Amino acid sequence: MDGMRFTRRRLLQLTGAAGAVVTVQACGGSLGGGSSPETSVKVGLLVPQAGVYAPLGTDMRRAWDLWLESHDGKLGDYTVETVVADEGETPQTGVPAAQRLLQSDQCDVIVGIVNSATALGVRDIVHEAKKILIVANAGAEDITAKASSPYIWRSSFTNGQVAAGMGRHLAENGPKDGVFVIASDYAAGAEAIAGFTSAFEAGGGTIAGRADPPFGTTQDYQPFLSRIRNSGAKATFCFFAGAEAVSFVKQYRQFGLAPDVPLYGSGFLTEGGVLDAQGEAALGVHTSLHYTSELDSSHNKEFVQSYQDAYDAVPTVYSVQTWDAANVLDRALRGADGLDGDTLSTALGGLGPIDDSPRGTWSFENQTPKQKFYLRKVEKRGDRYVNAVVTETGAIGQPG
Amino acid sequence: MSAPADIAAPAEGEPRKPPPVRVLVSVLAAVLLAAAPLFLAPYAISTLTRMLVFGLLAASLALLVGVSGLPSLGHAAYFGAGAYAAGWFAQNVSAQAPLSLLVAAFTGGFVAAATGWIAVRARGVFFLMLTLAIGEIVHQVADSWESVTGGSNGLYGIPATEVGGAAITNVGVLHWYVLAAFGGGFAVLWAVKASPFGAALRGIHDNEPRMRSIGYPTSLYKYAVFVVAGTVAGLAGGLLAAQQRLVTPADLGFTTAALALLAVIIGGARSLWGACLGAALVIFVRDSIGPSLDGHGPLLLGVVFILVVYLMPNGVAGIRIGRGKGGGKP
Repeated sequence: MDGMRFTRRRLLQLTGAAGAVVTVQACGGSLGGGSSPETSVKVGLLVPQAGVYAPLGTDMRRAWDLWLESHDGKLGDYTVETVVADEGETPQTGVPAAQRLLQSDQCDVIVGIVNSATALGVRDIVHEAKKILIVANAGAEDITAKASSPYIWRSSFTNGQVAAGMGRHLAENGPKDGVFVIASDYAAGAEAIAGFTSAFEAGGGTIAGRADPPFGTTQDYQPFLSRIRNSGAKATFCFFAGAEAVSFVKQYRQFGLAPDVPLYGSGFLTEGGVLDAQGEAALGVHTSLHYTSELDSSHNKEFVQSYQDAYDAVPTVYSVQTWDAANVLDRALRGADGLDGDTLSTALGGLGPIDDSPRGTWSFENQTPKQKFYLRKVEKRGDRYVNAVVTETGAIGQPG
Repeated sequence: MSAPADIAAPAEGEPRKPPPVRVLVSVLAAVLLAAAPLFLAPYAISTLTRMLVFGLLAASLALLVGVSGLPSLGHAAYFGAGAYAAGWFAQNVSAQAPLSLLVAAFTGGFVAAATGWIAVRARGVFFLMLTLAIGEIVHQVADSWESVTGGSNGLYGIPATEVGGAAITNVGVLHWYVLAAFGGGFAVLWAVKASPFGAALRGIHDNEPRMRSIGYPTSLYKYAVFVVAGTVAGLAGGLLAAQQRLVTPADLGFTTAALALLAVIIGGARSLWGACLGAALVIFVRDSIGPSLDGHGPLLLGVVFILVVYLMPNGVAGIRIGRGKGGGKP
């Protein structure tokens, strides 16, 4: 246990290392200079850049950049200065990052947040700072219900709402009697099941059984798949995302359930990168979501085209949610005469229908979108798999 | 470190009586920390407060790892248990100042007592694996016991701590509150380390069979220090709940445990204040630099870790300025 002596060489090594850290910090620090406050708005883009949600963060950031590029870098008449911060995987990284954007970078508005726990965790900071937060993904009901704040708006969805779209569709079009419900055992899964069940049962459907495989640790879904088979269900409704969505869909197919007991789910089951990983196993899977890149509208076609030109990639629902966050901010800033939370909140509340969104027309109801849902079916077009539109529901708001 | 007489001698060149310089530095550090809210911006203060919280966790882990030779990978479990207990208590019973901290410390100690007796029977890699398993189990409980912990969304909307009916919402005042509790927790750790009990723990660290053969009930000693460390970690958890007003399963997950261990290693394992400095560095890199690195925050943390291991094998606490004073073995 010798204490370390300070030789000159050691000291040089150390100061060198310290210097490197400082340099890195300087590079990553605040971007751009300050223009006068009346004509510029500082937006903190809080998206995951590391960890399991990083692909979502990429889609979100691309859409944000694309919006600014195609609108002269402006929201309303304000020049936008964007400060990007890494949300990471959990609130442990997300909350301090939000704090930094608000307190250190002095952002006027925050956009982003994928993880629901992070969105709920920053609620008090945002509320007390009286700054606008536009949640561009996180789907927990409480964000715009139990924990709502006049300063927190959402441009995405709620977990129950997406599932309710499917519940309503199945109740109307069948199979109506005997649907097995299965979802990862965590908050989002429970909300999805609740949303599906209440909409489905309200339409006269019956549930054949329910299972909640442990979240994040289940590798083998065989026991659950046997239960689905033994329950005699006519169809399965599920909520899975990310790697779990890939393994569930693949195992569902391998187990031989897919032809007899068709698989339905919340759209995240087959959205974005997971669909490429599922490949053929996902063919014929039906999901509900408020967007698919295959929508046949002029607004969507234009959006998809410019997104593909810029990034050589197909936009996802995560891109559209961020695009729409920029869209509503743009509209709100046109009508507002200040950047403070109260002014912007009032402006957002008076927006009316957002009629030029790639997802179709939607509007705010209780600060979260009221929107229609698309019933999508996985098909192969050329050499890639897509979520083709089968039909759509009427506008659905946050359930409850 | 072979003769029994050496066991009582403080390790790592720590003098028996603290030299004036060391006392002076400690006092200066305390004064600077206390005065910080007077001249630092709110964001810097809340970062500093977070450093204190995480520092107390790291210091309690250093008592296990460095002093007692019990490298735990599940120490965040007690931190998180304390945080959840404090948050739940503040939400449902009372947010009055020290109450939730006491509940947190008690819960941390209780969970450590309930799980530690299995862990301390094992040594080395087995201890590592057992504590890892305990941490994962507690994490799983936090994730699935939704009615109490809020499940994966965590416990949010925890009311601000109240002193005499007034809620502490000012970050500077909150910093003082956390600093005071930090001081209390750190004093407990320091007292344990400096006591004859602490000397026996160092003996167990260096040569457990020998300690057992001279008649020390080593398992009992290890169990006791495990509970003490768990209690202080619980207290740190209570501070987390008070500061962040949010507790999620990530706070007691493997990542937190690993970061705490990283802080201890950066700090120099055997040193309590070194662990606090390590924690400060980890928080600084993760929260202040990390978010603006385009997703390379974790990478930078890894680089810092490698640099520290290579350049400062004895951690921050191993640095001795001057001509090798007090660097060697007794």
